[in-house]
Amino acid sequence: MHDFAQALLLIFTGDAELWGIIWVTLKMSFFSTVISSLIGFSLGAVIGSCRFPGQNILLNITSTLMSLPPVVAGLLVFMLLSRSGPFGQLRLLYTVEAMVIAQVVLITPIIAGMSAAVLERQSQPVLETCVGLGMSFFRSRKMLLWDCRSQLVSVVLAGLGRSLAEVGAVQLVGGNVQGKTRVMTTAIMLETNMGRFDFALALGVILLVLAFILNIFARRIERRTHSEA
Amino acid sequence: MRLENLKKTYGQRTVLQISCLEVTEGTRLAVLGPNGSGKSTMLKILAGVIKNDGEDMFLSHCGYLPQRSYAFDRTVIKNVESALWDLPRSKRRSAAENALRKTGMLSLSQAQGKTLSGGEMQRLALARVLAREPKILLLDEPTAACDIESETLIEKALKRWKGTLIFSTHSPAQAMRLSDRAIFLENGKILESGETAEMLMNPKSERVREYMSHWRVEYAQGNNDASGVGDDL
Repeated sequence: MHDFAQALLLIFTGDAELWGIIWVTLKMSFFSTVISSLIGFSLGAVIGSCRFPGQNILLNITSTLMSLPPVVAGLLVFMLLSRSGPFGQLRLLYTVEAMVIAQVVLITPIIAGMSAAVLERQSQPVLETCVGLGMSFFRSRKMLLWDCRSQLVSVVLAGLGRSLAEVGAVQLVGGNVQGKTRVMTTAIMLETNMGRFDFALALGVILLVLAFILNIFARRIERRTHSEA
Repeated sequence: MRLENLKKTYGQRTVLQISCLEVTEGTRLAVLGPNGSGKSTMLKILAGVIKNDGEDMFLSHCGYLPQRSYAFDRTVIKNVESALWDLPRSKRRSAAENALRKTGMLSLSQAQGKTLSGGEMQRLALARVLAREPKILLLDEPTAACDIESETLIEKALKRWKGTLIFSTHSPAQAMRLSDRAIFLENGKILESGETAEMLMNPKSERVREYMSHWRVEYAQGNNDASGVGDDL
């Protein structure tokens, strides 16, 4: 109970270290989700609404990568960005950029796979209608994406949730450097090991609040898209 | 218009094989036949929804209405406007309203597309296609999901529409009301073709005669004039 009270105190007194960690986390999650969504939706639209040779193989690869363990993704990015790796000269290891790259590797297949499933369910009637109205390939896909927008918002939020809660990959490529690459999940692990339960608890509370806000946001968007439609 | 070598095969099964079909401009052609005879496949090939096995055979400047119509997730008026993307924005609203008036859907213009009944959705889909003012209309069982009122409104709109019309139907009565020529498909092949009345009243082939025997000619003639509904037409 004492730790919990201390945790609330840290939050409401605006502890600089705590809010710094929150800021890095939000920055990393925002960019990784935006980039993953752009790539994931494009891939999902292709897999879910087109017929082409190798489609099943691509779908299987995406499904497999959806369950890619975070530490494996982290390891891959670590090897690519380490000094001896092909992109070593970019000196990105132990930066937020490296963490974003690792998360993009992790989240893109999730967004691609989920959006492909959403779009595939709707594609037949929407695309048949669009062809009947003389729409081009790209216009038809645009109509399909727009018609599935509320489900796709949920897909983005699922990606964002994964990004916020992820720990293995960002720990590996970010290095949990204080004031630089320390995010909420890696900080919780570290602070717990160090016995600073109040600090870890404060971060845990913030994480839960963020998840709550995301849910409210998702429902609002869903409701608004239906009332605007 | 000469449609040649319409063919579609799935694995070993040939679902459509029409060597030649001539359709003159302004013809209203009914495609009759039992389930699985290839009616929908033929229309889908002509609309470009699926590819012909041989040379490409889709018709340009055509509007196609699938058997199961779909409403985009927006209002009825915006559904029609979305079909008019190549028109300046300022002209879309009046063109959309005009099309909705034709199918008796203007009063529902602010309703959500997803909340419509089967018949209303079909009328919306027809309005969307008509709004584009195509030269050729391809309709796959346009009244399959409709109640009698929606069916009447759709038929009224189609009677007023001037242009080439190719539609599939299970109903010989509807073929009588809407078409001047008809073909009868079975197993993907044309079994018989000719003027609608002639083909339905005096079929030449035994199979078509048997199929038509299920139909009561009196009903079709008695319902030829669909009046009394659709006040906003």
